[in-house]
Amino acid sequence: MIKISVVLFSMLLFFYGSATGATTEVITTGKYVMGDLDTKTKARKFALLDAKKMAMEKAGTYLRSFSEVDGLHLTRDEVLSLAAGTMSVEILEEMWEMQGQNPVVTITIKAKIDTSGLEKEIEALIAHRSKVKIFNEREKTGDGPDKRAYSKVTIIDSFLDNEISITHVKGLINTGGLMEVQLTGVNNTSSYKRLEYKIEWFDNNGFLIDTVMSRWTDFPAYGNSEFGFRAVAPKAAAADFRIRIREED
Amino acid sequence: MGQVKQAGKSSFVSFFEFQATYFIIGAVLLLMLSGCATATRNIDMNNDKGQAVMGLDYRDFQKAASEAIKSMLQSGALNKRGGGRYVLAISRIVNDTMQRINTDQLIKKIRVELLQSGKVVVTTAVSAGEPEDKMSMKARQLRKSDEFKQSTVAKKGQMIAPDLSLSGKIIQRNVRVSSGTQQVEYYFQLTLTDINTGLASWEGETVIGKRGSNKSVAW
Repeated sequence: MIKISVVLFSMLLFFYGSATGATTEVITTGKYVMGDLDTKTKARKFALLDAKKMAMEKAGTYLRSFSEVDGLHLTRDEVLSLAAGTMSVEILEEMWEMQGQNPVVTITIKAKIDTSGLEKEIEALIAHRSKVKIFNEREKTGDGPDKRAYSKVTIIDSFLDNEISITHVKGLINTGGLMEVQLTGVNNTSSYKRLEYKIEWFDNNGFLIDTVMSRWTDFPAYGNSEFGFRAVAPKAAAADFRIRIREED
Repeated sequence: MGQVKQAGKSSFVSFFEFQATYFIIGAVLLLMLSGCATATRNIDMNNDKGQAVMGLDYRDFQKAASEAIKSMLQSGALNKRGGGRYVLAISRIVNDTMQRINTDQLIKKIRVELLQSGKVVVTTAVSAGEPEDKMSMKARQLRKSDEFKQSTVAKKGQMIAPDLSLSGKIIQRNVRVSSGTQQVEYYFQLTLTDINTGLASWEGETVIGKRGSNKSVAW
């Protein structure tokens, strides 16, 4: 279930432009200082984006308020980027110079900004992200059409469930025709934990495959770090699996 | 009469007091004895939370076996080119520990799993020492017997020679940690050899370490 909730902030830039659909024309300059690993193309792109964002601010483009959907991470910066992408831009000047030992690119633009479609764009973006989140949730709970890997993992201790999170469960058939499973997760606490997993394998008919490999096996989960393990099915007939995780006594 | 009666009543009461005292003492002793004895119960093999021991117990063999099997299956060393199964012979598994171990506690688990994996067939007719099952060869001696219908006797050239050999060693190392603490390390080392080439196609080691009181005996 998606929690659409938190109104993060309202942008209170209220100059002369508004959401009524007025077109504004502004001239701004964007700048980017190149680092050692930057390319000229990349530097130019960032300078242009910087100019566009400034144009948005300068134009007083006001996005009356927008709701940030909890967990979807829509930020003010993203909204500005989105807005910057909808304006028409004319590059007036592009200048390269050295600032100390680093090259700097400065781009001056004339931007025509029409905010009439902006709110719809933002709503569409939020809706898209909601869909992505629903899909991910379904995959986690096993409701989705995907392989439902997350639903195969059970953290036995509910207390432990709050302390660790499963980030990825992947199953594949290896070159020997055996199913292999890899699970990764994160220990969200700062303390080291010794965890145990038990994996049970099932054949095509859903029957449990009896194997000595289905035993509680310990593995480390270091504080604030990723953990993981890999398991292999005991025979080619294994078509499904179920994993249980608990904290070792 | 009255006196006798009195005396009779008195002895009757003391008899019961005597009996009750013994009964109470007996009951207390019984309770004390039953309190000392540990009740026998079956181990829950699927969730055994029993205290670890300094020696090797079934959990250690299970761990060593399952890790070896997992490693072998993941390595691809048992994937025969063109499909089919390898024929595996069990070679020597050396017990280099201070304990009396039947190495089948380890090897049998591995054999069963490998057989069930569909990757391997184990031969019992050939081994580094005595064959595990002498009957395969013994039954061939019936070829000369008039008592047996010869068409039912195993034919020549029917046995399958092994492709792979599984050998290994279980090593124990005791380390003194402090005056009252010792550390015991067990190494389960296994090697899978391609008999045709003599090259090891897989090797694995599982280490099990235990630290406990010096009073615990690890042999």
